[in-house]
Amino acid sequence: MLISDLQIVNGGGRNSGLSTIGLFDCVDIDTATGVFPFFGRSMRFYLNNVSTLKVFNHGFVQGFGTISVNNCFWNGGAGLSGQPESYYTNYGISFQAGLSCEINNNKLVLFRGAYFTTTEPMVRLGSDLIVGINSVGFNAVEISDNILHPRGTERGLFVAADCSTALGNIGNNVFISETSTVLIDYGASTDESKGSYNTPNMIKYIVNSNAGIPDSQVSLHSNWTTTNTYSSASLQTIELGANSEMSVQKVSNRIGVRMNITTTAGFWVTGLIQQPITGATANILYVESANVVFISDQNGIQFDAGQQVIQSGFATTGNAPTLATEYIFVEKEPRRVGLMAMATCEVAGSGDDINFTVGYDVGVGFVDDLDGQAESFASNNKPNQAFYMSLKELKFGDKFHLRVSTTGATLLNINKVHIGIS
Amino acid sequence: MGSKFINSGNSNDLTAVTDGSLEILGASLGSQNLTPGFPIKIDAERKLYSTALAIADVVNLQSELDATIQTPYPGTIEATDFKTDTTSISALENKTQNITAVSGTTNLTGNIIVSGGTEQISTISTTIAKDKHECKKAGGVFNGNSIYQDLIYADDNTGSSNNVALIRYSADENHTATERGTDIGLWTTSRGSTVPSERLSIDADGATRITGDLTATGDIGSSGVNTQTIETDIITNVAGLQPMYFGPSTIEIAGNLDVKSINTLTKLITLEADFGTPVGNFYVLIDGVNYRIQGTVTMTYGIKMGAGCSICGDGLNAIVLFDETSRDCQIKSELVSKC
Repeated sequence: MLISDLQIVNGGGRNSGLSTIGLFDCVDIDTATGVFPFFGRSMRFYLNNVSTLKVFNHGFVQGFGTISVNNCFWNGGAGLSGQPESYYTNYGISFQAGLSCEINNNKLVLFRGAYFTTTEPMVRLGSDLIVGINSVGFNAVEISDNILHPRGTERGLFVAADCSTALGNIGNNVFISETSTVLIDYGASTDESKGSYNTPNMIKYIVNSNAGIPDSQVSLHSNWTTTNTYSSASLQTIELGANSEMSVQKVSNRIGVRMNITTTAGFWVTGLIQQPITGATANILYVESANVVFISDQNGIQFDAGQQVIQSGFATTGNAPTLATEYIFVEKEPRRVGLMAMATCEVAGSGDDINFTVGYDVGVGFVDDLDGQAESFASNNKPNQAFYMSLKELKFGDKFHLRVSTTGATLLNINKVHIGIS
Repeated sequence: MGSKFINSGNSNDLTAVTDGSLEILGASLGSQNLTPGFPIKIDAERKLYSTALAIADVVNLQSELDATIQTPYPGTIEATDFKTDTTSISALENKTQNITAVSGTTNLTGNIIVSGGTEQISTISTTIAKDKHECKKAGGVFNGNSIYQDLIYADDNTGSSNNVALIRYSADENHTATERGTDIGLWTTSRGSTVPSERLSIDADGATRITGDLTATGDIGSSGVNTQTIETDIITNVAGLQPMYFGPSTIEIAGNLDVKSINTLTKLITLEADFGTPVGNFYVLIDGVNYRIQGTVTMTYGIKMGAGCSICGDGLNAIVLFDETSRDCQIKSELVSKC
């Protein structure tokens, strides 16, 4: 499907007015007999310098080896007011399950949302296609340097909840905002989660340097408590005590927390980890083994105060999983991050000091970062704070955990541990 | 008076000389009233006289003459051969003076067979040679009627003679006193075939159509060719051969060149009809062909892409404008069968 240097006026199903009929009705995937990994995808859907004006519905593109939409100007016709709703562009374009999808240097403006109420997106990355036992999504997606101007309650870019992508970039676009527009919609529902991009459909994207939407920065704000005691002069990993609670992450972009799975089921998938009160599910970011996964919050409902995953009370079939104070970096590209941690604890007896640091596992086992360790004086029967701060370059799969030691004192309650990454 | 040549008993009796009873037997008989060189006839008094003979003087002469050729001869001449004063009619072509043109028309009914020679029928005037074939048809000549055919037959070496070429003159309309449109077609027989086909035709409107290659050693239209009359279906690429070749020289075209297909891989689209005939709701594009849109092309059907085909605008003003008054217009591509 190769079109270039052309202006297309009208078309796309205005005669029938159906949302299911669009200008482009293009298929290059064999959902009946396709074989892994390509499933019959080999052709190009290529639009270069193709302007459209008042296309009713831009249509549907399924599969294709390469989806390449470049230098296109799609004008919905709403520069002219006072026309019937069908006069303008009613629907954008939908892509599904392309091996690669490049949408670059395009301009999409003046759809019907300028004058009529609609929540239709201008560009949709649709649901995975099912081929046999396979759920087929995108391999690589590049959406850059575009201008999207949804109007009213229109949406700009929509990524379906069941759309998977192996690798993706969304960068340097200009999402022009109006009061009620949703510039990028990937299923997140709360204000906090809308900038996290840590839902399964977005976790493999870098979202960066766009006007109108936040970047997918690696960040972590986690706080939790433990009733364990620590009195060793050697650094020990801070573990959650029995019946303690841990808020997984309040805003946790691309950072997962370890969950040990003791159930004999041996295999966990997204959705099985569920907050018992709210029903919110956790997102599995990384599977280390059949018994160890790393999770984060998702679906816009945070596992924060009042909505915690309760370590001992989290019941599923089989034995309950246990959270551990170990985190993993799952951003697909290396990043230099600043990590700061603070622990508040009580001290029994007189002692000299409290050492608080972070140990990193960058593939060769955990190593304590003594350079970032802060030593504080232990003051009996008073709140004590210990700090850690460092700048680290993390890559995908790197892990870290919190470590503490004391000399001559006993740390009774570490009742607040704050971790922040930005 | 007696005579030594009158044999009578009485030599003095001459009555027998005048009463008609005298028998004369002599060596000669003469008379002063006779004209030398003329035949002798007998008058009413039974006297001899000399005069030219009339046809009626000979018994059956008139009837016999009536039974032979007259000039002009009003009846039908049937003969096994004609001869001139010097040779037979087989050499008549050299003796055109032996058939003298007269006022009126000479009609020949049936076949004229010329064997072993050359047929040449001509009338020499002061300016041009004129052959006239007047063909009459009962009830008049109507559109499509073959007015006249010059059929060429040839022996096929089995003793059978067959039509191998012809020139046909046909009515292009119903002929009237004011309308007499006529076509001319020239037919030849292809190698390996027995049936003549039309190769060259000149229509009543002056259009000339050639089926087959056109080879010219001289100029085609020394005063210029009106390209508006050249239709694309005249020039076809038969069996992949290049139908036209312009050589290495530069081609200069002062007017517009409206080309629909540059080659088998590129088609130029200026009208919806250039896409061909729609199938269902789509024009089905040919695999591997690039369709170049020129100007604004208003479409009432969608487009179904072939494998490896493409559409592009030829210039920044190229527009495909869909008119969906009658149907939805889509650009469709389907899964190509994988080997």
